[in-house]
Amino acid sequence: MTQQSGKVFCFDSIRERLSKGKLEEIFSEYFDKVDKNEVVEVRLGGKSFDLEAAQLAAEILPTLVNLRAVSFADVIAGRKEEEGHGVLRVLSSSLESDQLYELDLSDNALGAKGVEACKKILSEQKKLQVIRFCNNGLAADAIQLLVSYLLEGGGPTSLKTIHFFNNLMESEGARKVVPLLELSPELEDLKLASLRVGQEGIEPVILALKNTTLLKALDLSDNILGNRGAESLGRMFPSLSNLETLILRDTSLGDKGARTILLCLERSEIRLKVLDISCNELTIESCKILAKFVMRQTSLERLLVEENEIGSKGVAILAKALSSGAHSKLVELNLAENSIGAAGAKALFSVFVKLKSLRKVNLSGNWIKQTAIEQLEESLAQMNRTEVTVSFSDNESEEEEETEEEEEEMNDSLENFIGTHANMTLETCNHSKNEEVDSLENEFSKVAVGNKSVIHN
Amino acid sequence: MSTVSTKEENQEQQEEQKNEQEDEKATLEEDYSVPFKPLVTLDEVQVTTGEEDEDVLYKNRSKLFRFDKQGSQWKERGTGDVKILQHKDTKKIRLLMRREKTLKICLNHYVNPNIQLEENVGSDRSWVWNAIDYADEVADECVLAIRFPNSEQAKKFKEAYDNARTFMEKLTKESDKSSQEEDKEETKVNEHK
Amino acid sequence: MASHFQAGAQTDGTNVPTFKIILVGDGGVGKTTFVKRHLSGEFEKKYIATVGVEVHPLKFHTNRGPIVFNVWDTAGQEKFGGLRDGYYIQGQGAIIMFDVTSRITYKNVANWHRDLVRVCENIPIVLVGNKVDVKDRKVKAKQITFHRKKNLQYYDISAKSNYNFEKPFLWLARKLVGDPNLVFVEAPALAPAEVHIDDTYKAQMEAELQQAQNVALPDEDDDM
Repeated sequence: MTQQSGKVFCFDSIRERLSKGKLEEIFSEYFDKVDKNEVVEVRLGGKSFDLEAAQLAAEILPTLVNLRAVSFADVIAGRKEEEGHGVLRVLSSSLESDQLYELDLSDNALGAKGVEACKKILSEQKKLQVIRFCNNGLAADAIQLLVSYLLEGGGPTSLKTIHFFNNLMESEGARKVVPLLELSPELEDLKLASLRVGQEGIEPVILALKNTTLLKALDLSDNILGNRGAESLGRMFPSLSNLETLILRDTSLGDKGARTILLCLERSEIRLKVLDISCNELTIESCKILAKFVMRQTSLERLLVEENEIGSKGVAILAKALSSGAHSKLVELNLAENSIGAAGAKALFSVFVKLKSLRKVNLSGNWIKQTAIEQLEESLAQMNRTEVTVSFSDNESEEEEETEEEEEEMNDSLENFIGTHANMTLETCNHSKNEEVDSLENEFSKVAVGNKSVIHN
Repeated sequence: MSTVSTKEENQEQQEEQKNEQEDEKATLEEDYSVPFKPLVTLDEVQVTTGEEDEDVLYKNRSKLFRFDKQGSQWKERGTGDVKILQHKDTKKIRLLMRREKTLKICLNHYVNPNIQLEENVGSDRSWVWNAIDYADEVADECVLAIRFPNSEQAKKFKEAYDNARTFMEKLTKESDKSSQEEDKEETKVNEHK
Repeated sequence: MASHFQAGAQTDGTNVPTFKIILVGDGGVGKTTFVKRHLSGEFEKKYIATVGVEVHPLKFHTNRGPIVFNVWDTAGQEKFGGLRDGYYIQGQGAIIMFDVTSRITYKNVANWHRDLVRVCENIPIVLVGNKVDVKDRKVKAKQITFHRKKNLQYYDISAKSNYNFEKPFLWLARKLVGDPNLVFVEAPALAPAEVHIDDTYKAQMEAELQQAQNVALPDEDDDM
């Protein structure tokens, strides 16, 4: 991210307590070989610092005049509170202001007290482009403090990457992040994942995205969006035309929420490269919309739909769409844990044949019979598609295999579906006037109207 | 054919719904652990509750709170049956409460004739009082609150408490009197000497 | 009382068997709140991340006499491997906790388990899913399967509502003592001291009482 080439200082992978003496040794050995002016990044993670070791590091850090990125992630493991926060205070006070582009404080038990210990680095580095607070024990009070330090002096910030992950932010904390988002117009990569944020907290966050028009990657996974959150996000899509990666894994979307997201994406300028809608209790209903979506979003490289309930029928619909020819860039397809039987796996065969870009398919944790797996693997070998890795692990469970009758029935319904949808080319699809699309259009216009009112507010 | 399959589908759907409901309801409690060689062998013991010589004058489920002066907030102490117990010999009455399930003591002090139950703002089913409590076997000077499932039960508790208080007042006066008399006796004896 | 201690069982000087119990899991799953609930009965809503480790003795009375669990409540933020070994060494039982409202905390259970058994081989371990009182549960009952693969006991619990909150310790006690029918019994209620409260003292206490009276009790909608 710093776009500056140079040397990176980091420790070996052994996690241990670090004394001043040991650190002295490590530093002198390293700087015997490397000129201090060459060092642009320092990672202190993986070693647990005592105060003396931290003070030594604090003496060295300011001598690295070209230092632009520091990681103080995981530096106080096993330390008592006072000592741990003391270490953070010493380290974070050591750098010249406005020097850093990147800061990572992940994996330290910060809480509000720890954030306070890091006040200097948070409030004085005004050129920060990348910040990471993953797994820091941050609740709303700590988030509020953190944001107030980052915005000290008023902003706007230079932040391009903001990552918050695995904290107890909850909805209350999410609302405290909003000012930071509103004052970070350069933002390209926002991760607010696994933060126990509910619908009432995710909405203000989403609304704050109306000015982050440069956003390329958005990860809101493992929070609760539901359909309401999906609608709010859908309304933001017109201003997020640069979005390439959308991670909405495990956000309680359900078919309804997924439908909203997919429809709104379809109508937007957005051309996604990565879409993750795993773990959202999606069924065959979502596959119908997804099928149309993938036919138009030809830029898609990775599609992750694992841990849903799409079943063989859903896969068949998706497979038909993916092998229709329009798609040429898809590299990864994840359909693990989707109650897919042998028929679903067979339906994917056409995808393997036609999608030359494909490299990685995950079908693990489904209900595919061993015989079907062998057949599929054989066919792939015969076609000499050795570059495709297909994972079939954990497919032993035989409890809910489809009967032949069901398979036939599935083929029937597939025929029907293919007849009405899947043969549509990109163009005909766009101009289609069939009922379903009409109703979708109506729905979208509702969403669009809602959008206007929100913007005017 | 189609009607048959529809029926089956309906059945399936119903079953699925049922299963889902059960899933929702089901809270897990499963033991998949392997046999483990115990670290100690302990003999069964005779359980003494410490309440053997007491009569239960009153008992009701409730939730107890202790006031945290620093944070100016109530903190929960326990949920379980609060009891008013009277000793068979000494006739003294105490308040005793144990937490459900772990049966640890969260309230233990004699009813004090000087202490009355007061109301708590915004609640018609709670009482607040001062206490020097011995739940943790050391004196804890505290303000306590107790909440009942409804105001009816809260009223009943207050009645029982007030009766106990009146009784303890008499008992204290009597014992004061008798101890004063004993003192006098002693003085007399001394004078004689 | 004849008690036969084998290697590994400690006593606290008053002949009460004492066990080291390790409590691990991601940050914010409710480890400290769970311990505090057992210690004082309180339910701490405010989240303050534990730094390093805090050891709390929890005494339980059983039909086989009193036992003490020294619970090692550890920081959830520290990464796995090496630096946490001090917490684990000589652990005799463990609780791995996750939060059913956060998928990542369940996913990380495997890491906590690996980290733990690396140091503590063959100790009884109970897996606990906390916060089951929350409506928007993310980790559904049917998705909780880790205990089956690794032969652990599992409980849904809620430190907030007290649902199953005694079960993890009861199960550990049963395993460590070797009695599947062990139960918690009444702690002996000793006679409290008699205190005389005179009017001057009462006047002092009254101010506090008034302050307390004007603070509403939490969760007044609680139907108990």
